Amino acid sequence: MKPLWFGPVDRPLFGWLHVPEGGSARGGVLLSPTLGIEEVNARYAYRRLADRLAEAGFAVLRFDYDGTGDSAGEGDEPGRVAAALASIRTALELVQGLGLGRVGVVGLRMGATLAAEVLGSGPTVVDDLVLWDPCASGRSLLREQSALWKFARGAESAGDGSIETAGLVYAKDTVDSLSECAIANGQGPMADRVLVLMRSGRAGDRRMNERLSMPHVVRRAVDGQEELVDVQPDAAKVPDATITSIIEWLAEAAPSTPTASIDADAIGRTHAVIPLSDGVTIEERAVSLGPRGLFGIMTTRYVPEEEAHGTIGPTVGQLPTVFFSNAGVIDHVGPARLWVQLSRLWAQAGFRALRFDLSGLGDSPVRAGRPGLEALSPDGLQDMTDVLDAVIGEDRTNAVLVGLCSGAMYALEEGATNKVRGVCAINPILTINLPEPKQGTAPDSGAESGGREVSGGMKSWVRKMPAYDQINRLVQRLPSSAWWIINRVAVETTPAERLSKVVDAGVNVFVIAGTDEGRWLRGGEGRTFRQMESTGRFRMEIIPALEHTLFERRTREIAAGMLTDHLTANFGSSSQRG
Amino acid sequence: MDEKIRTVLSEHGRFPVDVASIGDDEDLFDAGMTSHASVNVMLALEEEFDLEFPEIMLRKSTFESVAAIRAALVELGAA
Repeated sequence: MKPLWFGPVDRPLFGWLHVPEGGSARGGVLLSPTLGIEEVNARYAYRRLADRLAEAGFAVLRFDYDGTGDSAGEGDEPGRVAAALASIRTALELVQGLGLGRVGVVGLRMGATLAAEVLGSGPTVVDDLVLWDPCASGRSLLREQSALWKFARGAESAGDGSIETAGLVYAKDTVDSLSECAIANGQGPMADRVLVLMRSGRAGDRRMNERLSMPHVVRRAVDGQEELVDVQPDAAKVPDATITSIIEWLAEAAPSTPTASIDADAIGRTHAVIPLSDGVTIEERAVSLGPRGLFGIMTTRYVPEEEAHGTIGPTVGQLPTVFFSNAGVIDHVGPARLWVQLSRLWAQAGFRALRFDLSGLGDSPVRAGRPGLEALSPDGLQDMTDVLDAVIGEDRTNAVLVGLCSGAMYALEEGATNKVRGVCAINPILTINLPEPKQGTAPDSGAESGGREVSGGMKSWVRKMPAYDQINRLVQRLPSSAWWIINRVAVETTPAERLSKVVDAGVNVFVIAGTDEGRWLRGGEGRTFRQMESTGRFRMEIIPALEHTLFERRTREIAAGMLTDHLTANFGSSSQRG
Repeated sequence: MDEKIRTVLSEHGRFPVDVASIGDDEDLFDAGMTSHASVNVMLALEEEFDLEFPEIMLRKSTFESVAAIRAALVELGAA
């Protein structure tokens, strides 16, 4: 698979082109993504679908709409629906331009609804269309996502017509235009063949069902949708049976042999030059990192050649490189796309910013013998080391690591071991262990082992208790004073000790935590925290009601502001740590 | 109505316990219903009773117990 930018030069779209081995294909398929938190859950399933379609002989493009993922633009700008529809048209042109003859489109949830909006009127322009658990309308998606956010957070409506959902706020004009999007719109056939995969147990919207009652539309029930989109991202399961049925349906009408070869190197662009609203231009480039080719995107301030030797702004590379890793299973885009936003913002100020995926997550390869999509992998720390080695070599003194949740834990561990310049840890989880690397694996299994363990977490006798999961959930609610006792009885290395180890290594550590997370971290260890603060290298800020994964806009913006201020104040000059 | 509500809860609430063992006033979220499951319960109730919960009712308290759901449905004129 190949990362690429395509579409408007000053407003590029980002995507992945999956080409069958050997470079010849028997058809092209466009994957149209859904929106918001559902897209986060489904991202890995789309990667799996694209990989398997390529194995079946199809060239596949998966991509991010304008203002989403790694594409240019912001998610809360006006005109998001028009931008998404234009993005689909642009991506479809790329697939049609491959000259493969047969072209199909697959859309999951709102991706199906938007694809139907594009294809629903006028003459048929694609051969196959798969509407995978489609949203009957944008309105139904907004109701579901809005209700979910309100039920989860107790949030109230904004009153300005905007709607907040997990990780994404829809502006009023987007709410209005999204509400008008519906499968029932349009009169045309949409495609020569249409497959509708309905969620088992759901009858579907009456108007949508009437619209889809055409003779060339096949309707099937699928299982596994709740486990894909109706769960937290770290619990999402790839519905392999559904993916198989999509591939089989597309394959049955496609030629059995390749129709054309593809020169993948000639398609799209290898980097993006994106002008931002304040006149600064940034450059983004896909990079392959370390011995396993982990995926990342490096963002830098763009300096035209004629100005490269002038005096405009700090020279790129002089300020630290900031590394963003996965937050749990969330890919390099970051929680609520925050890593993309901060990368671009900080690149304007002269920092280099790398957002990357650990092995088995996002768009990085899965290690042999590993299942992929693991929030905590025994290989995570080795991956961190490999990435830093690849980007800045052995001298870590100009590296700043930023992470959330498990990513924060990895950042702190890497920071202590390799003495980076700074770590910004948001809601770090420091009372758990990484899974232990498998020992004695059969030599012919092909299994790789990253092999670096983390000290800390619950003691082994605690983890072996039959009701460990239930106990673990219960103790998370206890006050700080109770945590002081728990830390001494049940935890191998207390969070305070783990943080202290990083500070003692000479690393500048900034922790942002919610009220609960802060209580668990402090664990009644006020003295240790005061000692860390006295070094001038430690700071912890508590943001009341901070949503753990930063999916809530208000507290996310507070955290983002703190991070930016801290970065600028502490690392905004080129002087190295002493 | 209660039987229909409990059938919907049983099919879409993803409870770790038998719905029959949950009292009318017992908190469904405490009983194990997740936020995601509660949205599916909401959609299934709308389908079952052929109505739509208005914006003002899209709050956790509307779906926090069998009794609360019943009250909301009665308010919307469900039979």
